[in-house]
This record gives sequence, structure tokens and C-alpha cells, in this order.
Amino acid sequence: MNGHDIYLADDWILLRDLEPAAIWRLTAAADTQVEWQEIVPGIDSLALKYDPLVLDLEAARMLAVQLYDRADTVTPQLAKPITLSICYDLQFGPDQALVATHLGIEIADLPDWHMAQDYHVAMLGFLPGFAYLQSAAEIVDIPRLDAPRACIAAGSVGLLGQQCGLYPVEGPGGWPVIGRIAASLFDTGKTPPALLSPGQKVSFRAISRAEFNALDAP
Amino acid sequence: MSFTVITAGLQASIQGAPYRTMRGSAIPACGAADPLSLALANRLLGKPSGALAIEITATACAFRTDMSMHIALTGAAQRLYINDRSVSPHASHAVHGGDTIIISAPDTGVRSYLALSHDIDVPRPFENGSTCFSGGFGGLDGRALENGDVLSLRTGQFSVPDNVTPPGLRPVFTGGFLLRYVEGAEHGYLDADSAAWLSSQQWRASPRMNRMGIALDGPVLSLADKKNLPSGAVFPGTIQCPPSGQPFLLGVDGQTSGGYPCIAQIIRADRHLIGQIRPGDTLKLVRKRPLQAQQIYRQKMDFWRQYLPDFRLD
Repeated sequence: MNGHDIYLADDWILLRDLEPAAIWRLTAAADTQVEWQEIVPGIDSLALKYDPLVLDLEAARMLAVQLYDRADTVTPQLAKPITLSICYDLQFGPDQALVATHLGIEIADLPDWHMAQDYHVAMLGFLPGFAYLQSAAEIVDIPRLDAPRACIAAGSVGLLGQQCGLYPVEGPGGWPVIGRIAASLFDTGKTPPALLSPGQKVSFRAISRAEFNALDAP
Repeated sequence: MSFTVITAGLQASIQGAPYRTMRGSAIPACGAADPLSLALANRLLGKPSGALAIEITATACAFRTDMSMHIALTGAAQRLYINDRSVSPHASHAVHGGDTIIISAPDTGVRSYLALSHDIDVPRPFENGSTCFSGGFGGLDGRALENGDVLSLRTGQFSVPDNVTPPGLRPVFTGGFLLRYVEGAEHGYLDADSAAWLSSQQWRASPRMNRMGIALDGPVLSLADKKNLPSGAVFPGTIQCPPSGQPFLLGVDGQTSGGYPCIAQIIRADRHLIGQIRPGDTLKLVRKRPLQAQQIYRQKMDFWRQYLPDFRLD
């Protein structure tokens, strides 16, 4: 089969230039093939890693090509839509003014603007459990902070325009932060460990600082 | 039964096999930065290749045991002392309660592996236990060892089938590395000169390095195509080229996705070497085709599995 954009390294394959729905179908199809050691969705790609002791280059390429056919016949079992409770307290969202300016809205309107977006999880990356959400709407680019923060709290919600990023663990980060969610995005005791998965619809519901504190209490 | 960290040095951590099948959840490989040296240390004590051990980085370290057991040291460090007695790396040694184990800083290479005959008793997320710094899990609370830390040990399966690594099987680190690569998914973004420089020029490891990756000093590369890329998967051994033109080689803790052009991929057979590159070391990059790279990997595995039957490279 021709027409598929495939990159071949020596032990991984990248299927490129894919629409989100195609990635979800190809991922579901790849899950049924035991040969793949890693299945890693990207924003517009899907990477498949294998052991060359098990598959040689041509066998791996053939298996990947078959995926495109198989993908047409599978229905991906996407995780069910989730609503995340978010607190837009300014202490939790120190970059609201910056983000509102880029969007051309009032800072007071930012929570409603954010909750009105139609988000799905595009991929996980960057940090264990970090979710890249993609909005269905066209949104202006918002640049990263000039200097990344040394420490961003777990649950922080960053916005780069069309993409909304959810920080699973405390650590450095460069995304402008607009709020914080109460849910834990990553738990090594759960299978899978990440709360969110590619293709899943995500919406946000505002909660007060007091409600957040109550949810956050151990 | 415990094992006390007297001096942890620059970065010591508990590492074993990498996390596998977890990159879709954005969990990096982690595990030993030099999995071959880890396997050789474990082999001296009759343990599985990927058993948890202590990875030591660049500087001297000291430990104290409160019990009798066996230890073995492999990797970069060449000098090991039990109390005041100098003993050899690449050999198993008996230690007893109250003994102090001192490992000197290596002259070349970076990482050493101290294997213990008893099992290091830590939680094992995903049935593994290697330290994941970015996720804050595995090893000791997901962090590097600190002076005064006490590791608990429990009796595990081990034997001491032969007490030295055959001399011909001891990796030697010289400060120069030959790393073979296949072209990366965005190799074509490089202009013609830069694409040629990748293999024709000598590269040097910069001081900007850790388990996540190594910035490479050399000619400034230029990208003919500067458009932003949507984030996609990267792997240990991927060489990315950010807009600065200074390529960056990803290590075992490298994040699972990236948005810079991937200009090269170090082949699976050679990725275990990345963990021994120190600042100032010279790197020669040699281009291979994916098919050749697979043959090299199979040959290397055939060779090592004669001595390390359960050895794996990722």
C-alpha cells in the first residue's frame, strides 16, 4: 500500500500526518498486535516501538501498513468524557492577566471562556501523566513564559492557545498557568496510571477556593 | 538488615530495568543509564540482569553495611575499598556488618553500579522500582540518595557462580565514543552542509548533561525548514535540533515527546553507551541504514547473551 507517510528507525516506526480520529483508530488497532513494545500517540502521529530480535525491518513495516486497513474496521474504546473541577483563584492562576490580554478578553471572563471550550485529550507527554488537551476552536497562540517557573504545583492548568496542558506533578514549567484542578492526574497505584487518555473529552467546572481545599484535603 | 549511605556524591539512585510499555502514559524509560554495566554487576552475584542496584554518578561514594553479604562493582569506577582494603571492580566480594564500602571517582566514564546480593527493598510501581525523577516515584521516594539514607534489604535469590567478569568482557571507557545512528524523522529539515557535518565533524559532549540528555558541542547546525512541529514521540538516543542549532541527545530519562526536529536516532545497539559519556568526551557519529542497524543489534545481543542469558537492550 502506498500513500502512507511512514518513518522507519531501526526499532521504531512513526506513522505521520494523521488526523486525531485516525490516531485513535490506529492506536486501538495497534493494541491488538502484541509485537509493539511501545505505542505512543503524538499530536498528529503515532509511534510504535519493537524489538528487532522479534521483527525485522520489513516485517515491522508490513505490520504497520496492515494497521491502516485494520484501523478502518475497529471502533476505538475512548475513555468516557470527564469533568474536572478547577479553581480559578488568582493564586492558583498567576498568569490569568497575561492570557486574558492575548485572548482579548477581560480577566473576569477568563473562567467562562475556558469552561466554554470543547476539549479532547490529544496526547500524554512531557511528564508522567501530563495531558495535552486540544480545543476544537481556533485560538490565537499564547507564548510560553519568558523564563520558566522553577516550581509549578501539581494540578496546574496551563494555556498555550489551542492547547491546554495539565501538570500531573510538581516541577518546573513554562506554560502560562490559569488555574488548578483538584483531581490527581497520575497515580502509580492505578492501571493505567494516568487519569486521562487520548481521545477523551474533557470539560471544566469552576469551584471556589473553599471547595478546592475540601477536595484537596487528605 | 540495612545499608547506609554515608556519602551519596553527585547523584546516586536506585536503578534496574527500564519502565517498558509505559511511554503512552508519558513515563520515561528510566532504569540504568548503562544497562550493560548493570547487567555485569548483577551477573557477578547471580542476579537477573535488570535487578535493582545503586547507580553512582561521577563522584566518590561511601556506604556502610550492618550485615554480611556480597557486593560487586562495575562501570566507570576503577577503585573500590572495603574498609582500608583495596579490592577489584568486576569481582564479587564478601562484606560483613560494620564494613565501610568506598568507591573512588572514575577517571573516565561517568556511571558505576554497586550490586548487592540481598534485594533492595523499595516499592515497585509497575513491578519495577527504578527511580523516576520526573514522576517522583520508584527507588527511594523517587529521588536521588542523600547522605544518611538507610536502605532496607531483604534476603533474595542470589549465588556467586564466578567471582570475576572475564577480562575481555569488561567495557573500557576512554573518553571517546563511536555512536552509530540512523537518520531521524526530520533529518531532511537540515540544510545540506549541516546534514553532512553530523557524520563528518567531531562532536564533543557539553557540560549541560544529566540522565535526561546531553547537549552536543560542534558546528552550529542550520535547519532549512524552521516550521514548528506538533509534539510527537521521541526515545532514548533521539538527537533533536532546537532552533539554536545545538543538537541534544536524549538519555534514559528523556521525556517521551518533543517538538524539535529529530535529526538522528542512535541505534538500539549503541544506546547503552550514552550513560557513560562525560563532559568534554569526543563523539564520532556514524550513519547506518536501519537494516544494518538491526544486524548490528542482533550480533551484539548474540555476543552478550552467551554470558548474560537474560540481557536486554532497549
